[in-house]
Amino acid sequence: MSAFLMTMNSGLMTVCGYIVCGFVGAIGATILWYIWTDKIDLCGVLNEVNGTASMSRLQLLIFTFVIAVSFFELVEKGTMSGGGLPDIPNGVLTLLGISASTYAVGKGISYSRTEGVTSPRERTEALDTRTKGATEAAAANTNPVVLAKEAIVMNEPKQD
Amino acid sequence: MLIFADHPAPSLNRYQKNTMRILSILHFEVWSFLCVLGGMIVYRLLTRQIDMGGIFARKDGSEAASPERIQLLLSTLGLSVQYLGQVWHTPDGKMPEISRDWLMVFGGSSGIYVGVKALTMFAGKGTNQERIR
Repeated sequence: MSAFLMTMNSGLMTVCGYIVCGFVGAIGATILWYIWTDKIDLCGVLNEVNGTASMSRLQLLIFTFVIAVSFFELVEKGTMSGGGLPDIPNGVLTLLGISASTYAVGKGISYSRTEGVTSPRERTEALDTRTKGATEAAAANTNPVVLAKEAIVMNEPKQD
Repeated sequence: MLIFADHPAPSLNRYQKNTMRILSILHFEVWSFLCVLGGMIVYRLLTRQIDMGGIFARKDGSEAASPERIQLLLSTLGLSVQYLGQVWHTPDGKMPEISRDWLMVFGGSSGIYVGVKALTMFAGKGTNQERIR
C-alpha cells in the first residue's frame, strides 16, 4: 500500500513539474510575442518625461540583466552541487543600493527643474509663443486706432 | 538533457529521471527567454526602435556631451563584465562578493554623476540656452 502511495506521489509530482514547465514556457513565450508585436511597447523604455534617454535607466536595465543571468546561473550550479538558492552578499546589495540611490536622486533633481520635464523643442516653442504674445500686446497698446476705439467704448453712455 | 549530459547516472530511478528532464526543460526555457529578450532589446537599440537620443547629452538645454555620463556608463559596463566573469568562474552556487575597490569606484562614479547633475541644474553651471536668452 505504501509503495503504491509513493508511486502515486512521485507520479503526481512529475505531472505537476510538467505543468509548471508548460506554464513558465507559455508566460515567457507570450511576453516575448507581445514585445515583438509591440503590444508591450519598449520604445520609451529608456526615455524620460522630456523625451530624452536616461543614463540611470540604461544602468538599471544593464544591472537587471546582469543580476538575472548571474542568479539563474548560480541557482543552476547550486542545484547541481546539492545546494539551494544562493545567499546575496552584502557587496551586491550595496551595489544595487548605490544604483537605486543614483536613480532616485537623479529623478529628484530632474523633476525639480523645468529642463528635466520638458524637451528643448517644447521650451523653445513656449518661449516663442510668449515672445509673440508680448509683442502683439505691446503693438496693440501703442496702435492709435486701437487706443481710439477703446476710448470710444469707454466714453459711450450706458444703455440702462 | 542539457545540464546533466556530463554526469550520466545510470542508477537513477524513473522519478529521478523525470525530475532531471523537468529541470532540463526549465533550464532551456529560462535561458531561451533571457537570451531572446536580451537579443530583442539589443536589436531594437541598434535599429533605433528604442530611442537612445540624448543619452550622453546634458539636460540643461545646451545638448553638449557630458563626460560624467560617459564615465558612469564605462564604470557600469566594467563592473557588469567583471561580475559576470566572477559568476562564470564560481565553482559552487554561492554568489561572488564584489570587491571593496570596485564598490568604491562605482560609488565615486555615481557620486560624480549626481554631483555634476545637481550643480548643472541648481547652480546654473553650464550653458543653459534659456537662461542666456
